[in-house]
Amino acid sequence: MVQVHLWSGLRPLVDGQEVVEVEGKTVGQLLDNLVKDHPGLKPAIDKGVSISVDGQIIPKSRGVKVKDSSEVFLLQRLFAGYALGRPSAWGPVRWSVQSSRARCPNA
Amino acid sequence: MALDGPKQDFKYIGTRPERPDGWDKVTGKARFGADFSMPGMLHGAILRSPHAHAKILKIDATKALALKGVKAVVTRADFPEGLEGEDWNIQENVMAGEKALYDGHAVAAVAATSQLIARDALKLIEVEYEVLPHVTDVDKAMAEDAPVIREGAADYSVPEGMHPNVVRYMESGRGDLEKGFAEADLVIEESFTTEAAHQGYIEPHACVANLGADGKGDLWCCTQGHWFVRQMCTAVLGLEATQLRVTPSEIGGGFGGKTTVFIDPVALALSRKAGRPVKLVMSRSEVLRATGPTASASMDIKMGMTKEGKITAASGTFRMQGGAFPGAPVDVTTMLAFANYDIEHVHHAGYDVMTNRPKQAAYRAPGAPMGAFATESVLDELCRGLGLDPIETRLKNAVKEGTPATFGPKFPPVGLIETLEEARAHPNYSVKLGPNQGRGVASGYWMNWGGETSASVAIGDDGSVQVSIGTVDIGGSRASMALMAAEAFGIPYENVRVSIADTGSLGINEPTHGSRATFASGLAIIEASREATRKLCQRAADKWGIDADAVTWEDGCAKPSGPNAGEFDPLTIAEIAAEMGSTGGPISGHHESTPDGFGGSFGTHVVDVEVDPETGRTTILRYLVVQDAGKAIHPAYVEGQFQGGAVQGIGWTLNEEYIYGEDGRLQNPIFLDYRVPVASDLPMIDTVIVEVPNPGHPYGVRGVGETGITPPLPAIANAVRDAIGVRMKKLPLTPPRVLAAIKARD
Repeated sequence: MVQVHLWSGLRPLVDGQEVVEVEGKTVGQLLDNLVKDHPGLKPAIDKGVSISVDGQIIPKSRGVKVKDSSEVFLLQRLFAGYALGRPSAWGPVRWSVQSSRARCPNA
Repeated sequence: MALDGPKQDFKYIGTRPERPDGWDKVTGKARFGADFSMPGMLHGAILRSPHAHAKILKIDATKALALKGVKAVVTRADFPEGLEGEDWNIQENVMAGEKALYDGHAVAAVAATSQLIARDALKLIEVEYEVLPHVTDVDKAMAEDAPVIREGAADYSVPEGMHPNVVRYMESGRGDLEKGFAEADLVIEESFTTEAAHQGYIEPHACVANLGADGKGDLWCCTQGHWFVRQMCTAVLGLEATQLRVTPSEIGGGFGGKTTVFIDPVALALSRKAGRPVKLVMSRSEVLRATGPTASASMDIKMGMTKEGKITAASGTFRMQGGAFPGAPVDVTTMLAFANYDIEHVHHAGYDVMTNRPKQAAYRAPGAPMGAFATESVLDELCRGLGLDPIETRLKNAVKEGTPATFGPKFPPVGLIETLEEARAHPNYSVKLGPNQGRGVASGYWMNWGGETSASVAIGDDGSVQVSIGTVDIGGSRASMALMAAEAFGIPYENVRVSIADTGSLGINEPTHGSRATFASGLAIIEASREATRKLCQRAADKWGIDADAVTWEDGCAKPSGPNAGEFDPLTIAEIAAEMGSTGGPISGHHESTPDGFGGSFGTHVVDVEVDPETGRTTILRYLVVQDAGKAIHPAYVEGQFQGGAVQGIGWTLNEEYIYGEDGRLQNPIFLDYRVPVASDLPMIDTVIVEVPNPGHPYGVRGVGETGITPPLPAIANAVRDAIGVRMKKLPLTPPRVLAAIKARD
């Protein structure tokens, strides 16, 4: 089990816990299991978060390996120097097929 | 993504060759956004709201369309419906729907055979508005009686009972604040504000769009990131991504403000409707009214310190407005506000608030300078109150490798202590000051970025190397990229040419943003070059009839790796390239990744000022920037980034601000009234490059573009405090404000 530290704004979503334990060998598995084991975190993770593993901020690579002993923090989604809205961190891809094929009445 | 660990010995890295784009830029040959034209091209113009907040009841373009030379008019009705989230925000920002949300918001656009006709046609478009109450101040926008910009824009994080203009809330921290403040010998609590500032890039936004009714098109534009432009334009217009090819021009500054779109989708919509190419170029007034300045901020800071100078606790509340849409960078503000220091008890709260202002965009270290202004000002007051040296106190609290950051994880190797030690040792720190003069010190941090990156290298048949990257060259990065390729291949800098590829020629690249270009594109070039040199070694091995493992690449040549490999004369890259058509075909290398090993950069600034007691005018006497670059690939351009950050910070601190009238309209939308510093306002900015290698890059590179704007706001404010004896808590420190503070003091 990996200990995942939560920023204080997330703690009310998991009954006040500062740290939660989840299974996972990769960052992607950790995030999937966080939502599965702690559904209260789903809105935050859907909205987008960043994650740090052993001091390195991982903006989007789901495949990064995680050990049980790794220091893992969930962080606010980072928009380092760029516009809000690009799927730069975790969370749903907002540039959805539905959006890009939206109806154009006057085209 | 550490590769072999940072390399330490270099032949080309660290030298200062001429930049490859220099001649074209100084002789006028370089083609910027407005320099592109096409046969049959029309000219576009945009009608903008004169109201800060108004319902759009009716738009009648009949008279405009009847004007000779007018070929198309578009309104929001010409854009797709059904978008959500940030797609909708961008669409709503580039063309208003039911409401105009700020002074300058686009409501219609015209394409005509000349720019004059297009502008005349704008006057013939009749728009019927119902003017609504507006709010442009962040604190007033949170008040109970504030007009609502848009219901339902808040996300899950906003506590119940808050005004609908509050759209995001964040809270983070650790420890026990009450305990920490109880341990302090001095606790100071103050409130601060900063105004919105514009990036002030010299080149206004410009583009030429050519979009057919079949949804296939081309766009030439000035941008920091053409894949972002493609993604945003295709989403906003309902196109398939790869059917739009975007080619970037040379760019006359961006600083974050050109990482999004304002006019490009409008030009494409006009082109689609008119069936001809359309050029759109913003005026300076349009740039200031209707692109994306940074957020303004209102902040409350409390910090405690022992008489020995140890920070015991810190808390901050940060309220930021990012215009009429969610997105003020308050998440970064909260994350970095106290990041310089090792603090056991710390708490941050942040509010993202909507107002009737233009949608904010990134501006160099978005969110960090405001927070640094507030926290580093309070730290300065603590040092004064306890009689402590500002650099020694910062050294006592500075983070280093292994320190738990105030935002959570432990720091990897970082160079804050090294920058403080270099600043302390610099001659500027011991210059004796005269009357009305003061000295300020501040430190700052930016975490930097990796991002999606693709790069290619191709060997020419004479052994020269073509490098293709997707990060636009804003600050001389083509020179840095050529140096890294030269180092990797072991060939002269002059034998490498670097080009910025269009969206049809490489995989996706994030923009030149987040101080990532030299780090991420550089890493990709090094890896692509290594792939190419492996192929070059294979060709040599085939020629010599030995195993490729027995061949090594060194100084631009394939060589046997040792005596057991056999006796062969080295084969140069030119010799292998000359035969590559008959030995297996063209040789190239590619690399695609989203590198995670970006290392953050700390900086420390020391500034001396003189304040005229008669006028309140502040003059910068001397300015020192010390910053960690990891490894400076091209030191002259690293120094340039340091100096540029300092200069923009000087402008933001002393003069620059968005001034809104009671009517909610921007009062200073020209450079005469929006005063950016020019060369004659400034001394030479002194620089010291610190190099603490980043283990996540093969040559140790850290991004350097953004950290430099974080310390200037507090460093200058601290210097003015030193000069006049009064703490200024509202930026900018304009002469009238400083004079009023001096008079109130006396």
